[in-house]
Amino acid sequence: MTSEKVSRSQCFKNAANYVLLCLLSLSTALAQERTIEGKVMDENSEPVPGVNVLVKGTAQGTITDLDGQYRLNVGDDVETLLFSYVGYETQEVDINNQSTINVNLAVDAQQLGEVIVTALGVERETKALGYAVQEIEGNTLTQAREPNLLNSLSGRIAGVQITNGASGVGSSSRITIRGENSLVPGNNSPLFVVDGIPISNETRSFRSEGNLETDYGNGAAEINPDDIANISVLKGASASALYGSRGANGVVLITTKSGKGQQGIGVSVNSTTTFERPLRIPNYQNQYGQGAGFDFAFGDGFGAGVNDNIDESWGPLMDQGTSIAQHDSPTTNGFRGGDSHPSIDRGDITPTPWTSAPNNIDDFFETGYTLTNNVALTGANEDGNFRLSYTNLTSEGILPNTDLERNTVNLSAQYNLTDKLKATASVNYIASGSNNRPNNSYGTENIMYLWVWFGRQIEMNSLENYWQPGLEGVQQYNYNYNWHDNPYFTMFENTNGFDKDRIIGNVMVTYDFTDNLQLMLRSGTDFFNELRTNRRAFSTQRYPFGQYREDKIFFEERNTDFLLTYNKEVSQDFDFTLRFGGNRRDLTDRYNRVSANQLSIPEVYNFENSRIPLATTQFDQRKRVNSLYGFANFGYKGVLFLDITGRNDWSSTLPQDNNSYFYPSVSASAILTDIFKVPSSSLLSFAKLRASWAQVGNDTDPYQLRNVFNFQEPFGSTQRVTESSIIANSDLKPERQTSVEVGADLRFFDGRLQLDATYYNTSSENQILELPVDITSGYSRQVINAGEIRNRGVEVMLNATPVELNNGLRWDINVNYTRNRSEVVSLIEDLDTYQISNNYVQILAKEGGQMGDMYGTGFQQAPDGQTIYENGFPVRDNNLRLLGNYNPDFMMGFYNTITYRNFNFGFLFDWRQGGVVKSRTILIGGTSGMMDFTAESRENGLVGIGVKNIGSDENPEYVTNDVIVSGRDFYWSRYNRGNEEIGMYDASFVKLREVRLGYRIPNEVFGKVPVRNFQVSVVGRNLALWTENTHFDPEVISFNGGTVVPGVEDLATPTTRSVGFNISFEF
Amino acid sequence: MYHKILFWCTITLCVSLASCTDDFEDINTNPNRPEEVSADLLLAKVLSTAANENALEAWNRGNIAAQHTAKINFTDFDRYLWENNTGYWNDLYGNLRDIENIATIARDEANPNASHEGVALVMKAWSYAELTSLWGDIPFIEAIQGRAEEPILQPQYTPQSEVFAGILEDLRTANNLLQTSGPAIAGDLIFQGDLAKWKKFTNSLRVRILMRIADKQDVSSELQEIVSSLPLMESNDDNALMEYLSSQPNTWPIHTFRVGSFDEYRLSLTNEGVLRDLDDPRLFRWFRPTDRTIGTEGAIYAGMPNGLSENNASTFNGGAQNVSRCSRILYEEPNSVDAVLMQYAELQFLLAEAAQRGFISGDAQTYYEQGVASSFDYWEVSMPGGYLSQSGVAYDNTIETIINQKWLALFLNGYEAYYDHRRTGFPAAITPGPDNVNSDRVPVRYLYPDDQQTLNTENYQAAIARQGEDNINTQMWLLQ
Repeated sequence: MTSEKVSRSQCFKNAANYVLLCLLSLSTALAQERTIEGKVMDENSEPVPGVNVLVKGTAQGTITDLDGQYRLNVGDDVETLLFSYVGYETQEVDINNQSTINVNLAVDAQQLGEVIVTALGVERETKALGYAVQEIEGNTLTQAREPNLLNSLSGRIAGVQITNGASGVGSSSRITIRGENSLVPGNNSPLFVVDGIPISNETRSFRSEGNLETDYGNGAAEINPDDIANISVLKGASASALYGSRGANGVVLITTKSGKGQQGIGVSVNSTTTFERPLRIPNYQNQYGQGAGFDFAFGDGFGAGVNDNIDESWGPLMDQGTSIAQHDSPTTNGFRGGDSHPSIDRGDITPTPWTSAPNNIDDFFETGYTLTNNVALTGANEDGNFRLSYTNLTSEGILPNTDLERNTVNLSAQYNLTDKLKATASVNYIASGSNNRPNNSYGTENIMYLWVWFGRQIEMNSLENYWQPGLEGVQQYNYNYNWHDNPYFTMFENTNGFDKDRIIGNVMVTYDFTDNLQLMLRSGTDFFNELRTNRRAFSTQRYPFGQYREDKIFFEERNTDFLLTYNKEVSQDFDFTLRFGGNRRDLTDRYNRVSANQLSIPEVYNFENSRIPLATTQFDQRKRVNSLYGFANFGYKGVLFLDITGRNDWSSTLPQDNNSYFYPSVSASAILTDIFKVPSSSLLSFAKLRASWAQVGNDTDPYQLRNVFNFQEPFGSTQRVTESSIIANSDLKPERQTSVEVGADLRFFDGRLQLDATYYNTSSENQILELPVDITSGYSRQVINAGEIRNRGVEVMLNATPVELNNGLRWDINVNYTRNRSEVVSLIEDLDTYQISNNYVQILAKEGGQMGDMYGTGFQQAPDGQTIYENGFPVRDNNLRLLGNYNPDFMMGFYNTITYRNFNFGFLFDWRQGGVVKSRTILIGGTSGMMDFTAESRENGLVGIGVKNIGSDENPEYVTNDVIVSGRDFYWSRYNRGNEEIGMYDASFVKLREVRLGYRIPNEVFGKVPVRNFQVSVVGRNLALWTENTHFDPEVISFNGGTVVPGVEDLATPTTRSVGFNISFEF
Repeated sequence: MYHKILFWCTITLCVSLASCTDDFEDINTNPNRPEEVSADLLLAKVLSTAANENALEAWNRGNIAAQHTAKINFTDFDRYLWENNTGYWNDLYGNLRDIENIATIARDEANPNASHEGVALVMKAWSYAELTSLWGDIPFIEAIQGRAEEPILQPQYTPQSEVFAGILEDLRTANNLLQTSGPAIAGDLIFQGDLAKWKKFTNSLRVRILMRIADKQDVSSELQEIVSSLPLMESNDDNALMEYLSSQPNTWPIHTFRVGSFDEYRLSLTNEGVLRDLDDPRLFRWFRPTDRTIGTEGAIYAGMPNGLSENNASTFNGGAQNVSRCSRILYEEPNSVDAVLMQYAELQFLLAEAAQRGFISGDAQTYYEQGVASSFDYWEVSMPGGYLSQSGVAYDNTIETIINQKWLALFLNGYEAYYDHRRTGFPAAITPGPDNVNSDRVPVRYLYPDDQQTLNTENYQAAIARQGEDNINTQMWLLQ
């Protein structure tokens, strides 16, 4: 087969190369030239025709003739030649004044076999796998620069859904693979593994002490894209069976770069600068300003003026030439109207023109930027190699005074101590921090909250000077003192900083007992220390005396494992590999919060400055999982493959009698084209079928087995405790997930068209979850084993090269399609509904329903479906109804790359069809007179479209509603935030996710300057969005209880569009 | 050499991974949370939660329903767009879990404490009285058994008549358990361990409950027995209340709200009318002059109607500067008001009504006038001379006069004033606001929480089949 394939592509290549040669010989005129000639042969000393002979780093070169001979004119400054041919390893040869260079090419096993990294870091041939794996090369991540590793996967991998967070660079992203398997929203993340060591991808946020939640990012997003060699995504249970419990939602395997393959010392530099602007902000009305009843005048911002207690925009018409006293109007004593603190003799306000400020909210956002600079040093000799890399990421967000800084040092080294003993170590040190991360969700601390309660007349720059004169540090200046904080005061004084030091590293030794028997020992850790500091200044609405709070998090996960590998080629036709391994995993998690919720002296953020007793919280968690596992791979003639795995886990979180659980998997693949000897001339060049069946067991969080009492803050000096309202369960069983998967990999036209399709069916049973129970039992939740969720889906990948011209023009298309259905098959006896979350809309799992179904209330409807009105107002129906599902019907990604000589151009469209999202911005902004649609018929009143009942309750008689109500009352009743149904929008969207145009400067341009592979690119992300609504990006997540909750837009910071440029080179 | 070292490493690892689960129990024992606690720690939580939630309910809803105050913003509740008040339901049932724990610990044979048990029963009775009065039939007999030997996770609803019977039974038992000479209690944020006061509160609460159901059954003999032979509150010193502290987080909760949230609650026209008619100086204790006139000689106190639409409320009388806010003690001061479970004044009005209706012997007028005087005393307002003899106040042998004064005395005391209005129709000045959305009816109950539909479906269905449709106008047994 090998020789067949080589000879087949040979003809094709030859033709192309001759044309290339002709083109190249046209581009001549290099100053001083010399001639180099030689012969290229294969391992059997047979001449190889058609081999590319290139001057390294250029397109200049030639190809070998039928006798393997070549002859090339090169400049004096040329140092190295590259010999490459499909199916063979590329060779670099230094010229060193030679004029004859003969080369022997070695067959490249990798290229022929398409090796991929699978579970436990084992490299396998793709064709031998009985399940779907998809791989992404590291350079695709760094080209179109997205600092969040997860976001850069968006739209690229079939079966994977990424939802970007919106707190700027460093915010959390939600990732699910093949749908949601768990009823616990936080438990649907795949496992992330770096160089064989599992790492934390947790999102941690603690809403307490009256502070809103802040998004400090998720763990995996901190991995530096510059250090990634490639990413393998293991999607199904069989792919991840060997990671046990944690692989049940798939595994993302990250392999970092090493110095392997480098000759001598090399330095590479990669620098990216991007600029960010909001992708979409809501549309506001610009006719009516702040106030109520079309009347307003600022007095003191508390209600002493005319309706100046009101923070909504139901006030007078703007731009009518009228003048009104405002917060920024001058006063007779030279102050501003808003300098209304009793200690200031402000004087009377001189009214100023009442004009609209259409861009006020847009003006608040700044142009964010992100700078990423990476320098990597690599080196290698026959005994080993190393790579040392440093990356700095500096980012300023679109919200003023928000930022993120991250420094990453990555070192990986490998050394062959003896012929048989090899040692490898890699360490990632990640130091990240921020002076301020924005707050999320509903409340004064979130800046987006202010924009749904605002005056349309307020010029943003009037608020920039945010202290009242003489009261700096003590009393803010604002347009309204009843409800809000000045937005600049919030951003600059009330900060949420953090500092995090994280080390991810491992050491590994491998020892070859014989050629067939190898042992690997490895130990690795992921640990971090994080300090979060919250500062609140005096006069903050929620903290009149300020606040200082610290959250300390310590996390450590240690994994130590071994793997014994034995492989044997029994005969030419039959070979097998047996592996046996074990792992111990230790988890330690500590959290400590201390908060001074009132301070004595302004602007001193220190616990000793607390004017009241400190509030504290603390928890410690430990967990251990021991595992033993074995797996066997059998191969027959290189066309039939069979894998069998088995793993047993022992988890400390489960009851002593039930803490051991075993789970097996089996998978197979067959290369049909080889079995049936499909002739090489046929359209079909490769066909593989694969199938697998697998089980995975799962444990739970620590301390679920026995009921405990929780401490509350003392009342004065009286201590208080309460029993936990969660009923523990001492009879827990491990969870179990079973999945079946079949797939095919078909390639046509010599591989220029590839179709890979997978169907899977995954069933998760005995889930360990906190089932809500009726509070009248005294308890709110109960830890149980329950439920079965079935995910079924199809993944299709299509790779095509529709254009590949001899002039170097090449167009590659990569399309992926994902369709998943998560069905709730059963819950538990006597229970047909499980409340997954209640974040302004209920996400319920109902037997027979879909995961992600959202329920809420709407209006009462007449039998014909029309909304029923009473006294002109729509009548609320308190019965929960299905409002839709937040999961898309399907997702597609279209990735195109076009290369022509030194140019390359790529763009990615990301399409999600279906699903709904609830917008709290539109609902609340609809009641406050902010949204554009509330300007309509405000003065004359509105008649709601629907019917009214002129009969009795028992015998209703519906006629068309004709009752006029005032604009404000109408919008209040319609967009009332309890009317969830009104706030639902189609979440379908198409995004131009990525565009990149790159140019590689030919090395000869640099002459003797030792710069090579200089590439410049212009990059853009999220450049365009097409979706139903004009107010917000439906790809949005909100935070609740420390987890990311999909399906609700809860006053989210806008997502960003970014453009920038990237420069990379080597020397 | 490597062979041997690596071989033994591997073997050791294997063995330890497979066998070493002995320390799992230790690893999985929560180091932060105790599995057993003493009753006093729970009692402090139970009492502070009950008192504080009751005070918050009074501020947020009780005062509005009784039209002591009116809403100038976010007027849905004031317009009778009442929903299920899941928060209060959950807090009460959640607190009952710890009440049950106190009782269980107190009954421990090795170390019994009848006083803790008695206090637990009083708080249990108080909590269920709130629940049944606001919702009607409720889970009672089968409630709070989520961790019983035979756990009940979906408790049946108990008919309201039986709930009240059970409440009274618990209070009778508590009266027997609570003895001045009984074992000491700790964690008592209401009476600081004074068991005599607990016993007085117990019997005063019995009077409240008996009068609540007086239209449904004959309560006179039990009332007479209590009045004749059992201790009752004797002055404001016996008030069942929790005093807030001057520093966070144990202050009057509204003190830490945003100004705007506090300012939503204004003097109601109903209250203004009554207080003004009677020249009642409690007006100045509870409210402040309008912003427009404050600090001027012509300072005026002006209320606004209850139940206005959003637009009408915020623009009433020319806007917020022309409507009185609540006074400093209700916002600026951290602990000038208390979290009241029951006051001496209320007991006196209850006894006045009982005497006036002939349930007990005794002089209704004396009780009544004692009630009025102790309310002034409680609010630290001196009663004007002639207040008790003026028209509208002077005792006239009517329930209406008693309830009108009781209504004033129940300012900021849970839902008590609302319950009285629901029961008696007094004060007659309480009428649905102009923009109400309940067809000019005052709602009589809350909807059951949404969770009941999903988590306790069958029992919920059975309850509404018995009691009537789950809406805010359905008459519970008490009102039938």
